[in-house]
Amino acid sequence: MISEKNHLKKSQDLVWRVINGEIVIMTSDGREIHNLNRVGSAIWELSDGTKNVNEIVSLICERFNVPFETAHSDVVEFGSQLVDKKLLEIA
Amino acid sequence: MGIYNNECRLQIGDICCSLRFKDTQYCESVRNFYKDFLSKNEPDLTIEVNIVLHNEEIDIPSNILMSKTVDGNNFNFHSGLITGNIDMDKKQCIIDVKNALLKERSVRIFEQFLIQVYYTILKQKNRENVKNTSFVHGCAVSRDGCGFLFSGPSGTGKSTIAKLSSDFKILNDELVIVNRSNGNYFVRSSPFRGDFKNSINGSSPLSALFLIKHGTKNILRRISKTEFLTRFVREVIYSDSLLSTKKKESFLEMMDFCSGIADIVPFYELQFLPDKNFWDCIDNMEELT
Repeated sequence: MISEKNHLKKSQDLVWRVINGEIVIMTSDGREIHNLNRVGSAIWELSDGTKNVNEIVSLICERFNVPFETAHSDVVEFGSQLVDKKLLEIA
Repeated sequence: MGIYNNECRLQIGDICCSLRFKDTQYCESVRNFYKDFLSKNEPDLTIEVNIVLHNEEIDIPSNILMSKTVDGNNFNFHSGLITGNIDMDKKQCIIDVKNALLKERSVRIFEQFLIQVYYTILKQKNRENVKNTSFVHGCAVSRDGCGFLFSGPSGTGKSTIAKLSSDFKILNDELVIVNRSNGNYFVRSSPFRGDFKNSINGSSPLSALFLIKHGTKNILRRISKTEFLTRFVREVIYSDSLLSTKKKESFLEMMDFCSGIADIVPFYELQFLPDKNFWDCIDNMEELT
């Protein structure tokens, strides 16, 4: 599970495209393809290695107009899943 | 220039590829296997095929494209299953192929090499060609001049669709060429077929594309572009060329290719029973909301 102080960044060697506001990611061996929903896509987009989890949560709150607790729960849970799938890395 | 006894001149889409073997009898069997796709065109590439006999058992992988290594003009597929070199200026390629790869259904794996040859020549002619052309796993049916592509991984029913559509022209039940020309998409036969033997060599404008799966009834379902791309890109054959290992670039081209199709060609998921009635669903698809 990721923590609030962790900085998240996209893993190397992935390719992705934005399709109708959602991210489609392909792993470098072509074996796995992932489709992120709009919130997941926003978390992905914001994970540039310069922002920690709390900063990403704040930006998600603004973008989707949701309470901090909701955004925090989404970012920690979803961010952890993406780290487990090796799509995001802890910088 | 005439065709040699030891030569199989194969037409793959717009590309003509000359395969030359040491054994003329073996060459004759190859010509017979690809009989609907033999060509008299000037070859874009001549491939000298040396068949390497071996005593050891070889495990044939389902995909040899991802394990390729390249060193200068030399390539090596799957730790020596196919090794060789290519000189595009001289339009010549020499390969050593392990005998096991040319037996029975393993030929389909060897055909992955020929597809990479196809992409190589296509890229050399015009880089834009590859962005608009791809091999796709699918059964293509031409009905009243309209092309219908049923795509899906092994076991989802491509050959079954072909058998159930025998009233129409079957372009191929395994691997087809999809290309974009003047803003429209076309589906075209390829020499690389599955179990259905009565396919014809031809092409049709692509009218609709279906991601197929077996079901308990015939159902046509609209899916989002994202779902379509995520599923369909798996059925596009990796579009790298022989001397390239730029996987990221190829994957992006494949994703863009799928996205481009989705912008022009109607796409659906088709769950079907093994009977001809799935065509009724397709005939009524305009009524779907």
